[in-house]
Amino acid sequence: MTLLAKASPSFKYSYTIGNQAVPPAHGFSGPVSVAVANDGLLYVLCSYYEYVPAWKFVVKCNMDEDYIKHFGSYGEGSGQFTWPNSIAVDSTGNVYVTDEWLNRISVFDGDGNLEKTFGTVGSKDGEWDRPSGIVFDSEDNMLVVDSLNHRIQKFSRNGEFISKFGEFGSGKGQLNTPWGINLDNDGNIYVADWRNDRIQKFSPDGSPILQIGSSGSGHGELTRPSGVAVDSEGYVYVTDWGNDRVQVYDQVGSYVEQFNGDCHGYSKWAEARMASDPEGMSAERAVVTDFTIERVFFQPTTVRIDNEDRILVVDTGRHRIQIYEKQYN
Amino acid sequence: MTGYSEISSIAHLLRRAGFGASREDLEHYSDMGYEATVEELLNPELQPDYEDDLAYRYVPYYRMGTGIPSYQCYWMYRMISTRRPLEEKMTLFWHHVFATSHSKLNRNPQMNKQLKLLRSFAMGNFRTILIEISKDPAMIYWLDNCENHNGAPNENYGRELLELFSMGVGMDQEFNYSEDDVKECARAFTGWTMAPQLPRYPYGDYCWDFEYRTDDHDHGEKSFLGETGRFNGDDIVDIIVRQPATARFLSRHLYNFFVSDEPQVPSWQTTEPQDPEAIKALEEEYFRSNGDVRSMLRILFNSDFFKNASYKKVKSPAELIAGVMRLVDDYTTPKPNSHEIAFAAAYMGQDLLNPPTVEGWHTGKEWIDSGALVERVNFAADRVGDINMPGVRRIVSRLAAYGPVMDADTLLDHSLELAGPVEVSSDRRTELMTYLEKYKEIKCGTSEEMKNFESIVTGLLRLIVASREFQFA
Repeated sequence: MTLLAKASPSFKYSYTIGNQAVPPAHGFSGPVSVAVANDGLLYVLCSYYEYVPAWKFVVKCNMDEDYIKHFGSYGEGSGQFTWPNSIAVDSTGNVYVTDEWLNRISVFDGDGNLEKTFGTVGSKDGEWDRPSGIVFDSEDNMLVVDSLNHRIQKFSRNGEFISKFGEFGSGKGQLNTPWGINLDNDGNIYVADWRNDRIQKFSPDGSPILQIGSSGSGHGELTRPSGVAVDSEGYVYVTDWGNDRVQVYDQVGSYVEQFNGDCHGYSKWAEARMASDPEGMSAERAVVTDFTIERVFFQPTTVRIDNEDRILVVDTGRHRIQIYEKQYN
Repeated sequence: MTGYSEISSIAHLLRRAGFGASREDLEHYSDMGYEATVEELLNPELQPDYEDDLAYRYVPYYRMGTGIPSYQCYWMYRMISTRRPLEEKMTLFWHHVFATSHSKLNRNPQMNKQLKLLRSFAMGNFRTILIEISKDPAMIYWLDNCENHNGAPNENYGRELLELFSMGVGMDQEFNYSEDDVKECARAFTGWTMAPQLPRYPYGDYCWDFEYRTDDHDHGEKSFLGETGRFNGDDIVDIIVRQPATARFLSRHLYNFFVSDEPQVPSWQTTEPQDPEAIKALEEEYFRSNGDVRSMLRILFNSDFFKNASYKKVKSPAELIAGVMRLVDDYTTPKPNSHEIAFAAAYMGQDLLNPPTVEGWHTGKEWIDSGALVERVNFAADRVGDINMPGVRRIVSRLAAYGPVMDADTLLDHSLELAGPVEVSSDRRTELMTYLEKYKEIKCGTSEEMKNFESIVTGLLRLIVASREFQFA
C-alpha cells in the first residue's frame, strides 16, 4: 500500500452520466450499483418499479456516456431480477448480479446473455440469506455479503465455497445487515456495516482491522452506509445513504471531506432528452432560481473507483452517476 | 388466558383506532388493559419509529419513485406494518377530510410529502393542522390557491376551507357562513403559494416548497364571520377555530370515521347527528382542550357510545385490506409486489391519493356495490385461504390445540374467535355450521388428519371473511 501523500488532496466534481429513462431510451431508473470492467466499460444495475416489468435492468455503457445495450427485466425467471442489489465483473468479463429476494446470483456474459444462476437460501457454509454486495479479489474469487446471516463469504468464480467471516452483533468484527463491499490494493476488505452505521476493514483472511464512523449526521458520522470504495492511495469513500452524501476518510479512518453532489448542467443523455421538448421543460426551468436540489445526491447507494482513480457515485434517486476526481494543488 | 369479552373490546378498539391486529397483538394489548391501550395508541412516540431504512433498501422507489403507485404501495405497506396504528389511521382520516388527488398535481412525491405532514400533525391542535394544510403545496395547487392573487382572488381554497375542511355549510338547519365570508376568506389567503420548481426530467421529481409573497397578498381590511381587520390567512383560521360550527364539524367527522357511519358530509346542514349526546361530548372537549385532537380522541375511545358501536361501520377498502394482511401476517416486513395490494384498494373503490373529488370518498354503505363486494370477498378469502400465510398457520396451529378430535361447534367457536373475534348472527352461524356438517368427525392428531384439518379450517376462514359481519368494523 502506498503511503498517503503529504499534501492534502481536493476532490472536484467532473461530470455526470445518465438521466431518468427506461430502455430503449438512454438512461437509468433507480441505479443501485455499477461495475467497472477491465476494459473500462460500465455495467449499471437499475432497480426501480415492480409494477412495470421493464424497470429492472442492466445498462452497458462507457465513461463517455455511449449507450451500448441493456438486458434483464423484473421477475423471477431466468435472467430476471426481483430485488437486484449489486453488480460485479470478473477477470473474464462475465457480469454477476446479486438478488436479495431470489437469493441467487445471476451470471451473464458481457453481452447480457445468461450463463448461469446459483445460490441456496440458508445459513450453512455456502448458503446465504439475501446476498447483497459483491466484489472479486485479485485471484478472481468472489466475496459476497450474506446480509441477513450478517457475514461475508468467499467463493470461487464458479460458486464453490471457500471461507467466511463475521457474525451478528455490534462489536469489533461483528456485522448488522451489511450491504456494500470493496477491496483496497492490498486485498483488505471493506464492508458497509449498514445497520451498525460504520465501515469495517478486515484483513484478506477476515480479521477485523479498523472501524470507521459512528451513528449520526456530523462530519465523519454515518447513517446507514451502503457502499464503500478505496482508491489507489488508500482514501476510503463511503456512500452515506441515510444522509444523502459521500464521505471521504484517510487510510487510518480519519474524516477528510464530504461531497453532497454537484451535478451542473446536463449529462449527454439529459441534453438529448431536453432537446426533445425544448419549450416545455425549458419554460419550467426558466422560472427557477435555485438549482441546488438538482445538483445534490438523493439516496446515493454505491461508490466505485475506476481504472483511472476516478470516483463514481451512483446517485440512485436522481438516476445518474456523478463522477469526481482527486487533485493535488 | 385472557377473557373473550376483554379481547373483543380490544379488537373493536384496534379495528377502529388501527387496522386490526393479530391474535398475538390482541392478547398483548388485552394484558395491558383497555385504557392503557388507548393511551399507548394516543401516544405513538412510545412505540418504535417506523423502520423506513429496511423499506427503502429493498424497495427504493418507496422513497424516490416518480410514479404515484410508489407512494400508494408505500402507504399501504405502512398501514399493515406500523407499530403506531392510530398515527397511521389518523393520517388516513385527514386524507379523507383534506382530500387531495395526484391526478391534478402530476408531481407525485408531493403527495407523499402531504402524507408526512398529515402524519406529523395527526393528533395535534386543529388550528395548527388548518394552518399547515393551508401552507401545503399539494393543497395549494389542488385548490388553485397559487392562482389566488391580490386584486384577482380565486375563491376555490377559501370556499373549501370553510365548506369541507373546518365548518361545513351549515348545521341545525342554518348556514354557517355567507358568500361574502368566502370572498373575504379568499382575500386573506392571497399570496399563500409555492415557489417554482424544476420539471421531472431529466433527473426525477422534486417537491414544491411553500412561499408567502407579501407583494401578492391583499393587505386590505376584511370582514369575516362578524369580525373586521386586516386579516391574513392565519387570522382567518383563528376565527374559524373559535366557531361552534367548527367544533360540530370536527366532532361529526371523528364520529363518522371512528364510531358509526353518518350520512355524507353535504347533508350535515339538514341532518341531525344520530347521537347528539356523543357529538356534544366531543364538542365540549374540543373547546375545553382548545382544539386538541388527541384529547377529543381520548374522550371518544373511552366512551360508552364508542364501546357499544361494534359492527356499525363498513370497513373502507384500505381498512379491509390492511386488516386482512395483519391477520394473515403478510407484508408485515418488506416484500415484492406490494402494488398488488395497493391496486386492490383501487379496485374496491378507494384509489389512495386519488379521491374522486375534494369532498373525498363517500363512506359507509356507499363502499359496497356488487363489483366492490366481489373484490372485497375474493381478496379476503384468497388470503385467509392460503395455508402458507404465517398468520393462517398460527390460527390452524392454535385450533389444533383443541384436538385431536373436536366437534363442529367447538371448531366454529374458536375459528370465529381467532379470526377477529367475529360475532356473527344466528343465521350466519347456521350457514357456517352447514359447511362443517359434512365433516362427521374433525380430527387433527396425525399428519394425514392435519392436512385435512388445514383444508377444513381454511375453507371455514374463507366463509367467515365473506360474512357480512367481517366486512364491518
